[in-house]
Amino acid sequence: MSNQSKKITRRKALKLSGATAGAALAAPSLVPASVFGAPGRPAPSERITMGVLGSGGRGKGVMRGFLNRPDVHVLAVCDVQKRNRDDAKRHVDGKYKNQDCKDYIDFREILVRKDIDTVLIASPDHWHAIMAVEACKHGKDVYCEKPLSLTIQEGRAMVDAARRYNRMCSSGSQRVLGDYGKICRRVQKGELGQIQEVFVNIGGPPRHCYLGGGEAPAEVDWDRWLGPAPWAPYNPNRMSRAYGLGGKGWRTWHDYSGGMMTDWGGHKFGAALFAMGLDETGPTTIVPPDGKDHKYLTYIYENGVHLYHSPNKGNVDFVAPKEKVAGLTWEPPKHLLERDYKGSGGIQGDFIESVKTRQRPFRDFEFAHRVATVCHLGNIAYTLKRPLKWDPIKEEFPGDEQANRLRWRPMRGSWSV
Amino acid sequence: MVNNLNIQPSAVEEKVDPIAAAFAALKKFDWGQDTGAIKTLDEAVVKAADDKAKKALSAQFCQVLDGEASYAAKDYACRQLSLVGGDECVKSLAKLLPSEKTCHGARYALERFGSSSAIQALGKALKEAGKGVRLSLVNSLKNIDSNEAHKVLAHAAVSFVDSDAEASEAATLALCHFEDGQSLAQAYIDKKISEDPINFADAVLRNSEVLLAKGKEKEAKKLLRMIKKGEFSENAKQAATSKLKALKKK
Repeated sequence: MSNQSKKITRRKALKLSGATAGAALAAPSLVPASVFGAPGRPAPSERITMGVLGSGGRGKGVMRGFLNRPDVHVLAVCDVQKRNRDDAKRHVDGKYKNQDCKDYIDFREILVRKDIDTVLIASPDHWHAIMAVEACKHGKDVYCEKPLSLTIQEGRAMVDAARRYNRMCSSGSQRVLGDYGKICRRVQKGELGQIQEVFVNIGGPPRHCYLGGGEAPAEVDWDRWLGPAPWAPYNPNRMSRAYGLGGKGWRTWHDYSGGMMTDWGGHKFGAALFAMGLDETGPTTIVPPDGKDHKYLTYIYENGVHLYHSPNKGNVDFVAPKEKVAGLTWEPPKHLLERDYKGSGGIQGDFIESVKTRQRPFRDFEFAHRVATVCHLGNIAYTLKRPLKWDPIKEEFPGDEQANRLRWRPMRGSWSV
Repeated sequence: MVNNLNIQPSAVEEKVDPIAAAFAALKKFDWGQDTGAIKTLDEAVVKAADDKAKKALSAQFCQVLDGEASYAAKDYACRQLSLVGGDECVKSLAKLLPSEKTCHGARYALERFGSSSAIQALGKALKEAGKGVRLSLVNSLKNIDSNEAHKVLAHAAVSFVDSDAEASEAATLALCHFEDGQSLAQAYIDKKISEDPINFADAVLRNSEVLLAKGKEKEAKKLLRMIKKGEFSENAKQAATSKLKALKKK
């Protein structure tokens, strides 16, 4: 359910959708003649239309990838910061050589447009679940930047919404095959033998933020930027896109991000789990570093694989001493070997292909959720500083009431998924 | 040896309790201050392994909530209580629920407790608080998966029909998380749900999933057919239709 205190009334929704439905019927007025039938470009009726939810730095970057596809047409952009909205609109209009791109502050105004098929979600992480679930409810297919979620239960709600409405929903972890594809394929073909250990080198968890602040500049709708997150005073270092855990951007802070654990975890844990065919399940034990037996945060899987969060060792390093596992050669299931990007143009092309064919994408939300869960489990173990048991089927910590509390965060105001 | 510095040995040896010092710092803490002085509390919360230790810490966090501490300090206390707190903290947290400003901090802890006394506090606030916080309280009750929360929501759905239609509708839709499709269907039939067909359809679809998980296929199908034949979005109708088809195949 959306924030009802600011909800779009049925009347307004009908008015909006009615207006756009009318526009859609008169296709040439919606898509200008300059692009109608352009060489190598499908007719407007055959293009996938898209709205962009969160058009800051990353949003614009991913949007450019979609803009370069002749079978995609970006119709609308949304951001709570005017500068981002203006930049994105200018970019889209420049690409299509018209002024047709509509810009919005409230993403829900994009969702009620019936002429928009898909949405790209590139907001900070604390908005992903709300936007994705609402998009599914409104019949949109979703390409959501990684990491998928801010909490474990949010991720499950996103998968449930995708399934409930038969929506094609992809997470944007392009490096799983893009950067790590070679090693993933070698592991999947059994060239390394039975994997015993994997070292994943990424940064650590986020921190709580008590930065001081004051009034937000007029171009920022600060309350809307916070959305479901706890109220806090405006500070540019809370909301900046500055990368890393240095305290200069939103990825540093617990209320808006899972830190580098989730941000890079989406790529590197994603690659490790994909390679081993473990991205439809989860670990059963998580042990934080204890200075003795466990140098690194350790995930232990039912099949005996040890996955380490090793912030200063390796990259995505698989350990499989073949000589020790003679006779235990890995026989990858066929479906694992068949999983690859579909269509052309990497993970974005894969998403568009899935929208057209209604076949689930390579980074379907279920896989992305399982990967994000591994990242969240790591953050919870770092927070509680003790070993945890995890049930990957029920997605709960058996008999551990304190850890179970951390699977979820109450959302502010009337925001909910 | 002569003590030229004239330092009294007892003064040197006097130990300051680091936890007490950190709580004293927390009571004066505000946005923008160095968190170093309260960092000891982060560690104490994580180390509090047994109930006794947790209750001792919780009592002190409640003192912060009951006093004149800043918003930032109370926010911090609520976050820590969400990890170590329990029923003994409900009274202090409940006082924060009626205010739009402090409601979320209290919910942050109470929703995670999910206990009977937490539900009662949320239910009481739902009755007494103003419109500004009702929807958030409904959401907290929705997220606590228990029959007791269900009863509070069912009561709110009925009692707010005339005075706060939005809260009544939200409570009705929240019931979809529980095994009660009938009240949803009735609400639709009675035209109580009029503003938001997308959220209503979503609630019914979710409810059908709950019913199916409980083995109540007949009841689930009834709800799915209602969506299929009703005035809902094509997206919702298709979702209901494909689910009905899948059930038929099964």
